[in-house]
Amino acid sequence: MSDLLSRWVELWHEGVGDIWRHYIAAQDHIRTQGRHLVGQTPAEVVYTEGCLRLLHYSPLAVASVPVPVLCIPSLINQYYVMDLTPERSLVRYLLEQGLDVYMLDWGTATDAERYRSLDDYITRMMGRCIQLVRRISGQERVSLLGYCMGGMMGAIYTVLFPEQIASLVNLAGPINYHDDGIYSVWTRPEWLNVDLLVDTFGNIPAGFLNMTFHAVRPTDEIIQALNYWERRDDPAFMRVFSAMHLWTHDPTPFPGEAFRKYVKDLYQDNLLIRGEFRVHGQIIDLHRITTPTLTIAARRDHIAPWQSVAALHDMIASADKDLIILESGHIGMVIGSSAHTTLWPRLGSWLAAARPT
Amino acid sequence: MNDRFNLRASLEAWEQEAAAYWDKLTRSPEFLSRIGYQMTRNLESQQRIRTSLQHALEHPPTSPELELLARLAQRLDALAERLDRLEAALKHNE
Repeated sequence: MSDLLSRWVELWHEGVGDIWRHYIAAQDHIRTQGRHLVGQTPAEVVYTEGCLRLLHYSPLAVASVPVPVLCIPSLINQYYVMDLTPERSLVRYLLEQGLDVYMLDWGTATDAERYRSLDDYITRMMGRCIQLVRRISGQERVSLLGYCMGGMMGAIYTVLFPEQIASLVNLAGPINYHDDGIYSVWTRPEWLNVDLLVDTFGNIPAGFLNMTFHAVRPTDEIIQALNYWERRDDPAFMRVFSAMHLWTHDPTPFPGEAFRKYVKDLYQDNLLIRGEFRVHGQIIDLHRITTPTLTIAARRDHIAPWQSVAALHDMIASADKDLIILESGHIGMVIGSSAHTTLWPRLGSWLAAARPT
Repeated sequence: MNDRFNLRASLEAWEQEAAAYWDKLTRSPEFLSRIGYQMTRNLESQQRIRTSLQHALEHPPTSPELELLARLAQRLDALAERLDRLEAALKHNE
């Protein structure tokens, strides 16, 4: 420890101090730049409900796939991670492949969402969006592309309403919560009193969540500062860096009751993997999934360890199922510099193969 | 300033080690128990403050303490007026 501190002091005086000061001073500017770049793919808002929006993207190629794709991001991160910048956009890629793409933007939870349950989010809000996508597209079934927490939500919806789902993609969505990941450790009931947290805060504040995200590896910020310092005059780099920086500092509050159930039932009691998790009054038995399912995990994912994500692949009964494990991290897998070669084409071709009936 | 390559290499090496140290620390039950204890106390304090504020809002100033405070405030106002008058009188006499 003392060696680490003394080396830090040396590094600070060798230039890291100056770099850090510049980086901190540039924060507002970086985020403002990022704000102009994110979520730029043209889309129409086809439905709103409270702070939720359902976006329907304008086609960028001749439609060649009848089954529409609904992207479901995490409840607590901004949807635009899947449409980060025009050059780093999974959504744009899918549109260019002729897919019909919708996005569920959960928005920023307000006090009105304080008592909204996880069941509400999955069966009612997500459910209404799926009905609307079916109606607009004229298709009986849709493909779900769930990222992070959205992957878990998509899997649960598929158990409950299999007749509506043509194919399911779980992109880094944790399923087995008793894993080696840091959140699995931090949320143990021995030190985290979830009821007290929710009863005090209501919605879990975005600032609190942001702190926990960065506390996973706080030292990473200094490497980001160095990246910024070395390439701040490179416009192409700065576009992606600004957008990425904005996204990683832009979480939304976690609705209180949804958080209570999410942490207690999933992280603390691991009910989903045990086949005891209840949503909409029903037990969620993942073994009942027969829908074609693609599970994508990342080996360096600290948020959703790959084993936790891959558990879905092992549990489901689908005859048509695939598992991809990428050599990247939780965010890099979607928008990293190699995502357009490692992930997007495989994801695009899987979704394009979805059968309408 | 150190040359760019050396600085990056040194910083990355330091970051790897520091991150590994932090990861180990934040997984240790002793550390988490301490953080959990502090967080619980903090949240309980916030709840008590909120309860007190709510209680104060729901119970307008009829309690004996608040009446006493109101009488004290009146007496202080009266004293302040007397001081003003005395000051004015002193100035007049000068």
